[in-house]
Amino acid sequence: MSGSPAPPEAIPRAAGIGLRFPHQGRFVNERPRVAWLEVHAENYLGGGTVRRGLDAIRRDYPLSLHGVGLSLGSAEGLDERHLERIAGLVNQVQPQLVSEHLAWSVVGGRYLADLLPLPMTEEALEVVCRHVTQVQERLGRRILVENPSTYVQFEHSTLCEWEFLTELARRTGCGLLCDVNNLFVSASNHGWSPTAYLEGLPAPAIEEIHLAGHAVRVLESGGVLRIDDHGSRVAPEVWTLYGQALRRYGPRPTLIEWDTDIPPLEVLLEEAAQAQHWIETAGRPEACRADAA
Amino acid sequence: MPTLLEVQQGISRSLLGAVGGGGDEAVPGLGAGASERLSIHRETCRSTLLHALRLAFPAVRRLVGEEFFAGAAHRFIDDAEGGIPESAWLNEYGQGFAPFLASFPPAAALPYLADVARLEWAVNGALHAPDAARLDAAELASRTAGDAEVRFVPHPSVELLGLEYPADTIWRAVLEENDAALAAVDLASGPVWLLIERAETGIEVGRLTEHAWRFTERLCAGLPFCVALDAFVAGSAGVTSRGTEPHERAAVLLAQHFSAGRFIDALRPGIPSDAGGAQQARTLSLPGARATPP
Repeated sequence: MSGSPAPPEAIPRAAGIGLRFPHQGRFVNERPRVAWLEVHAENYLGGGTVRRGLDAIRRDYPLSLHGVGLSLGSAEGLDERHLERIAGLVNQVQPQLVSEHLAWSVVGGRYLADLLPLPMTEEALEVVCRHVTQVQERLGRRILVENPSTYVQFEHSTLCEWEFLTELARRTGCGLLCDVNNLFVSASNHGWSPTAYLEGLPAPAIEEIHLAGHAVRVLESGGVLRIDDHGSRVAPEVWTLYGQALRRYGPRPTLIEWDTDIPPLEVLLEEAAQAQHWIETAGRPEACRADAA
Repeated sequence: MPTLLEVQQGISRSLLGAVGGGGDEAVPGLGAGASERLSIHRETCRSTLLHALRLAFPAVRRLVGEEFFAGAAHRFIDDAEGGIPESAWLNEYGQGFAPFLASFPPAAALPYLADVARLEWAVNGALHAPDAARLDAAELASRTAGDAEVRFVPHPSVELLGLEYPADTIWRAVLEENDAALAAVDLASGPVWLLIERAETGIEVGRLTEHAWRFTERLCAGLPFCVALDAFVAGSAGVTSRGTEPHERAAVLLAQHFSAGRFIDALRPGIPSDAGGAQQARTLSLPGARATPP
């Protein structure tokens, strides 16, 4: 069996953490207890000890591969070479989940190194649907697509974000990754109702939830902008919204993400324990009553 | 209504334009007030690329200091060929940084800086190269089957670099924070001929003689063995090495490459690589190989 990972089973409906390089050695050597792990696919496209570490982690933990570079929304088409690399990794690692973002990063053959916003138009929907289908066919499996955190709205958008995502899932059969922090950030930045957003997404399609911290910036114009920087603990308002999400969608695999100023692993495990507590208690009658009150 | 492509080209101009320049041009579909909000993406893009360069060039960063490094990196990102990556695999990003430093006027006082960057780029390449099954020396020798036309396939992590300055010594001293070793570097000691590879234990940076390096480079470039050997022998005139014959020295070098796992296959004209010589286990004898017509 050595070298070939076990066939994928489901990611547990429990709290996991996003694994970043500073903590990889501890997961390889000490195997701290956590229900599952997620890594950025783009960090493992090479070989050597980093890649061998991922194989060890895959043997010991349920694993999700989270892409940040496929640029599903690129008007000019997918970078086939990048898709091939991702497909090679997915084939070797056989992760339980594969996910990407509702965003774009590539235009004119240049990778702009961020998850950039899409206008919510029928044209963009068709582009993203085509690319999700292309990726799913190449990988031979469903992927999840994550809702973005956005700072701008396009004047010519004709759909709201949750309508776009709902239609994307319906047309392509993809699942959805509901990032509750992104949802809160976008809703705050644009004056949307986060509850309407949560209610607007199709519960059966939600297969994973993300939680992370965000920053708050005061603009020169005086407005407040929330910025999805994954650099702090989950905000209290986001925990509350997460409780609502659990009651609406049911228990879901939930990930703690932290990408800038990465803290000691213990902090991530504490955040995961808190998410686990929410998963175990949010569906109880008293929690539902509190929600209704 | 702007097309998706027009929107993406507009955002690209806004993100990549000079500070206070292109960023002020309105993006199709976004109001004039969007530039401050778009600047969040501009900051993320630049800090992600800066971070990728910091990871790939740690010795350059220590040599010039954090502030100088960030300034140079931002100039590279904004203005230079290759300053914006072509793919989302950021381990591939940074190839243009060494040539950029070589012609970056503020770095002119450190003539060896670009060579250190070239070495770090090779180290980065070796570190992130894909895995490939290494053949053991006996298997590799048997696959060559005494064929002088055989071409070797190097392991993807093998990099060869000839540099004007002793960048390997500088690189090691800087990363080990060994000030004494750094002070002892003789910048006028002449070119160095380096072989960089990913071994089981980590990245190795070794020196070869120029003569051995050129032989190795020809082999790694996939030239037929006999061509590399002819050049090696021709280049041996005037090279004295413990009184041994050039053929013998080439054999020793090849054996070292085999046992270090630097080759992953041996291709013979007209013979599929995986049909190699498991059954016809013959060991390679270099002078014999040359003498034996294919």
